[in-house]
Amino acid sequence: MIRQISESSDKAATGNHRMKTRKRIALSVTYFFMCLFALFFIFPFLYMVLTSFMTEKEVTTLPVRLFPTSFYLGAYKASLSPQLFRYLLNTIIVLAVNLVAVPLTSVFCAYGFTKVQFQGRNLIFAVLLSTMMLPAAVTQIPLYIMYVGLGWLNTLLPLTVPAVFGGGIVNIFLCKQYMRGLPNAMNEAARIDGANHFQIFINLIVPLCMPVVVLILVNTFLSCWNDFMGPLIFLRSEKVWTLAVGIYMQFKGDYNVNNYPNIQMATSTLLSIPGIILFFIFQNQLMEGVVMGSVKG
Amino acid sequence: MNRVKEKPSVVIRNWLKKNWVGYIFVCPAVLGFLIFTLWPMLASFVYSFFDYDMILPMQNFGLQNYIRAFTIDWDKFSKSLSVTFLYTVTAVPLDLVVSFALALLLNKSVKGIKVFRVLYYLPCIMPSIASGLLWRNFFDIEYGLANSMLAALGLPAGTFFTSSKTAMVTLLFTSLFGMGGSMILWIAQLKSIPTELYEAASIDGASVFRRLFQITIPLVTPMIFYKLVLGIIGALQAYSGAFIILQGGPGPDESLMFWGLRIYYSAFGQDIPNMGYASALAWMLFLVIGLLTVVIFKTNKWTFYGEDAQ
Repeated sequence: MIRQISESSDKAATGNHRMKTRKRIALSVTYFFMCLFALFFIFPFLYMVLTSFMTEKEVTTLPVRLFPTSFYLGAYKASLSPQLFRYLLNTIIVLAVNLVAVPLTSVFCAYGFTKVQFQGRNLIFAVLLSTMMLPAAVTQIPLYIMYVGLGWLNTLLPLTVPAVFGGGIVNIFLCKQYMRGLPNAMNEAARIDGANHFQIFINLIVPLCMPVVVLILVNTFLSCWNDFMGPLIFLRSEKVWTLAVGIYMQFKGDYNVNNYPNIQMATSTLLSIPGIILFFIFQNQLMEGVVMGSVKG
Repeated sequence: MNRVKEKPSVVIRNWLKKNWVGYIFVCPAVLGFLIFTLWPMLASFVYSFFDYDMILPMQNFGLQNYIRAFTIDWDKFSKSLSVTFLYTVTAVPLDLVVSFALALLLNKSVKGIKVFRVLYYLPCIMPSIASGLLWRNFFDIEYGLANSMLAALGLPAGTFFTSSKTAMVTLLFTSLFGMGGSMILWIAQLKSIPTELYEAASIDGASVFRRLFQITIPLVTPMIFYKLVLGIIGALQAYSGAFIILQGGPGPDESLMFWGLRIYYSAFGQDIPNMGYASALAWMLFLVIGLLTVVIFKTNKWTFYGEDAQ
């Protein structure tokens, strides 16, 4: 009896051992592929940053290499031109308005759609949500004509004024998703105590919504910072260009003294830095936000 | 009796009393919708029936802009159609399959998994201008690293964005780097599948592939559906990625002349804008997107919405 037990436990042990080796091999294979693909995904960054440290001669000598021979900062010096600071200033103006207006109005509207009862609430929300399907091309042309008529062309108004009006349905949707999770009992208690909706909104809801506000702030920053087609259409004069348009225009055309790959990549690296910093600080919120904005609704 | 025959003013006052708070809260969004979406939409619809160059007032009401797309401009328009549809039928499945495979790879609880997810997601936060310049340099046929790498491996040089045969493939290749965003969505969806299902299946001796095709894929069909709809809507209007890499150009032999780019050219890319024609093209794009969305929803019999729905 005892022998039998020890025999079977022996068998189990070898089986266990085999299982473990098998698992270890599977794990190694998994890690191998994960690293391989990780290399693939960081390659654009690597290429951009490494090229930005090259000299003009290195980027125009064949064969082109991935790694620079020295730590050359000339390309950064060349890319930090006075124009770049003007583009930065314009971008900061757009950012300032959007970063205040978008979170504020989207939380405000989302409160109405989530916690206040009124006639036609679901219908209005459905109509707003359906505009996500509308191609930008349909509205861009009349908006351009409207801005020309208002004298807004070549000003920053087309990039700032729309932010005051609800901050975009995507952000309202995000807030709404978040607010649905807040208990209604709290609202009702406050109402019984005689608070009206506006007091509840300011004193209760806004402080509770800070996590989603942070997400909206980061998203708004990234979308303003990266926005290109809108500014390209509405800003035809150099003095109002934002960073994205300014940099695009600066490097348009063939290679020349001011337009070598190393300078292009140095400028691109500088342009990417704020987003990367924000991403590393808020990566959890951002990745959750990607999910929250999709199917949970 | 009195209740039934209340004065209209009283009815309105009561109605307002009940609803005004809500309307104040949603008012910014509704105004924004009216000014920046609905009005432009209607205006664009009206423009599409006129000749309008923004110098002379609108004139010649009629279907000429729509007819033009199918007659004198048919060669150009059909080119845009084929480029756009080719891109849609390749980019959408590519995104579905690749990002799903990546999610399967990264949906594990092993050490350092979060770092990998962050690295895979990283290209998604790169400004489009930066990645545009980057790919433009990388695929430059003379001084690009791509051809130097091919030469080092003893392979012939590629033509990339300079030949109509390779431009679309090269564009699709660059789109692979944006798969991290979709991957995050898949991972969230995969995590929502109860682990008991897999445990039960492996006790029954189901192979990895059987588990994939009989548990995982059926349970993520809502996500497949969601990605399919949004992917098609997005791909049909896509053009800015190619626009930045090619610096506004349509590519060799117009091989990357997307529908959206054609609209951009008609409205903003020439000395005398043709807002009527551009609006007509935009509305046709909208109609195609709308129709396809309806068709996808109507033919959707394969999505699994949990036990309750059956």
